[in-house]
Amino acid sequence: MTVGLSWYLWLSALLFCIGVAGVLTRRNALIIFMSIELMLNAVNLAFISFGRYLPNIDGQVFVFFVMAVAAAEVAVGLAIIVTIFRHKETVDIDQVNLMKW
Amino acid sequence: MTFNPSDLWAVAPEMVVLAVALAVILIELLATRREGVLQGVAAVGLLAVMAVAVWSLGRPTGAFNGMVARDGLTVFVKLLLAGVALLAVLMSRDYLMGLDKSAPTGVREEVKGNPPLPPPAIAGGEAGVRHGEYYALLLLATCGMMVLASATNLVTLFLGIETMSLALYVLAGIRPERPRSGEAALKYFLLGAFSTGFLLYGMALIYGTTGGQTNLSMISKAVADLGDGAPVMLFAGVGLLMVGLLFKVAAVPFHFWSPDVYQGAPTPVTAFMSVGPKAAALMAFIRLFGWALPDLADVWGPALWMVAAATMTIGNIVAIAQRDIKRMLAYSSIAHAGYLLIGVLAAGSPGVRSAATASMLFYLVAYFLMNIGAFTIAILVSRARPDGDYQIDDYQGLGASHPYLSAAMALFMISLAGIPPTAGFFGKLYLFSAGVNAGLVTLVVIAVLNSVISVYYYLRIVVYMLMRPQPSPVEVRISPAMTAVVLVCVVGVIKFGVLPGSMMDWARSGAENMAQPTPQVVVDVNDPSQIRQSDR
Amino acid sequence: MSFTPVLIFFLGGVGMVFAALVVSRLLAPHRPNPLKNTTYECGEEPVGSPWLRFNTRFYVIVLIFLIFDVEVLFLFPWAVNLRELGLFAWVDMAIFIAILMVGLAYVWGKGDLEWIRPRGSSAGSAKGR
Repeated sequence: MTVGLSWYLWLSALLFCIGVAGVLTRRNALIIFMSIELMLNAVNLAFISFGRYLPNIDGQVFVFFVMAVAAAEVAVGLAIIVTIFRHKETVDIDQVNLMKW
Repeated sequence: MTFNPSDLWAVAPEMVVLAVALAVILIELLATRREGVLQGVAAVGLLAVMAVAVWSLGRPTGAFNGMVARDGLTVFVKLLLAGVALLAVLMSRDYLMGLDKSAPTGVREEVKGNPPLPPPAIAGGEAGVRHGEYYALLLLATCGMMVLASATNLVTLFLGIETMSLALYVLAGIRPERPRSGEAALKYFLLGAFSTGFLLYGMALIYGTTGGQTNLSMISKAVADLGDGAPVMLFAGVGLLMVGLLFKVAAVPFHFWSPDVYQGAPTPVTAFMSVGPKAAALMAFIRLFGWALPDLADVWGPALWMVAAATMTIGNIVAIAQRDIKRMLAYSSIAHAGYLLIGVLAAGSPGVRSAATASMLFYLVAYFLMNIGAFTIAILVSRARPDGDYQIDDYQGLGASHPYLSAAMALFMISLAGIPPTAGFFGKLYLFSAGVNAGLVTLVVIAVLNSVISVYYYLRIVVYMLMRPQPSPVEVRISPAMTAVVLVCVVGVIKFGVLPGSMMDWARSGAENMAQPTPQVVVDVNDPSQIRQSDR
Repeated sequence: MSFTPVLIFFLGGVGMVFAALVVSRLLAPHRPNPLKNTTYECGEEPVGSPWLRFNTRFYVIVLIFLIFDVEVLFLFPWAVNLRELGLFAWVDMAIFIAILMVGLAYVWGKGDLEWIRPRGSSAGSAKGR
């Protein structure tokens, strides 16, 4: 039994889909946020496995940037969620709906 | 890899923006009585950025091993972005000072049963919004947009998008005491981060299927080599990348965030957001789809065609139903994004690529002037109301009490509708004729029909101002900075509406002076000579 | 690459755990009484809900930590290759750190690192940089 590139890509696609499903079905802002992080990590896995099998170093470099940006995104996102929580006492996105079209 | 000092010229505007942003942060930290100083430093800094951008113009080339382009197109867009930021800075101080006076005391009801929480971030006291933070974030967003507009590598593209977006998420929610602002930030952030996931997955698939290329022109070559044998994964990657970018442009069906965010964000930020990110993301579109992937035009062309048609139609039709002027302008900006996508589609056919790009640049300049002008007047009118709301009904009878202001607003509305003699008319003319030359006749017909629909809701405001009686007297106070912004926009809209030639010539020379750099040094992992002894 | 040994190892590990659980269930006597069923057989009775809410200040501090922590990501590849990269990379990294220092100075100077803040002072969560 050998594990080839396609195995990693399927795993990455699966993780990505779990993340997308989480974003679409969950209502807690923090859980949605975790699902988004799962999507980003699925991308990282795809980059790393492509980089390993091609072989090409750029994939790993890309992952560095994705990780750094994801951390910045976490900081900004959590800050926004904390601010919302301070004012509304909830992080349920169905409760955050002043504006409708 | 050797470092070439002249590469720094390619990012000189970005470096100046960054330096100004840091200076603003330090001034906010160290100085007292600083609101005027901060605005002055930010404005002068942006003027310096424009000067440096012009100075950096030269032979089209790349920099940093093909990471960014240094060419006329980039310089043009950087000038535009610095201009957008400059006008946003000029209109911000009055807006922020207005907030400080009317800032709520921040008393929050204690909810029974929960432990007491720290007071809300803004608890009266000092200024409601720290001006330095505000200007710094505005400048950092501008820096991200500049990187995005000049990116010729997937890595720089991604970094540009994220620098821009992260700053804008915070800017949208910079007034946490106002629930709508926080809500706008949360929605923008969650959907923006979601779309980033798609964008990145698309990049990963393109990277993998083109044999490890991240440079756009190398991707182009790899795609050409693949020919008909291109794997489905490549198409999926291009599609996902397109979804991520369309989100930033707020195209249908990825537009749901935009009206809420535009309404909830502070108005100068909304004005900035409605032009800057669109301009930068569309330049990325041009480089990516027009230059790097025209070979795949059969794949992304039809999809983008439908998106463009849906975007302008839905944007215009829903705009009719709006009662809030910020929401109306939000839907109008969705519609304008739809028109601009015609330019991207036209750029996909190599014959009209430069003409299409030039017409998009002209349209962006026109849209920038008329939209910023309209938002500035919206701020002024809303501040005449005690609750600071943005109802369209407020414009009733404004023509009698404030003739000059109303004339300017009417001009912006006429220009947004695309009626001559305004910049908006020539923008549409150039853009649609580029579309026709590229054979997109049906789409251009749809766009023209949409322009006719849009006349209804734009001219409704003019009709309100001129023909309705004023329900109650309104006192609009105008400061010198606001006057300057409105004047610049009025003069620009008229100038480019009567004599569009000079701007179109600049846009054309910018679009023709375009670089598609390739990396000079490629590290090959399989080549032992490029791996250091110690690593083996 | 053959991953068969890994699979066998994984299945073996899971199997051992289940085997231990099954054996103890089969062999051990099963005679519950109320005292045995309490959460802590000896010690304090738990009072109130265990779902405590953490002070949101933890988040702010953690966010600031996170931002500065992850930047180390860029320091590692730089440090490994410092000798080959030379002066340019050193200046590059110095600028990078200097920009971060401006952010840190801002957060510090504005009092966002203080644990206890007087109500109504220039408070505010530091959002991003």
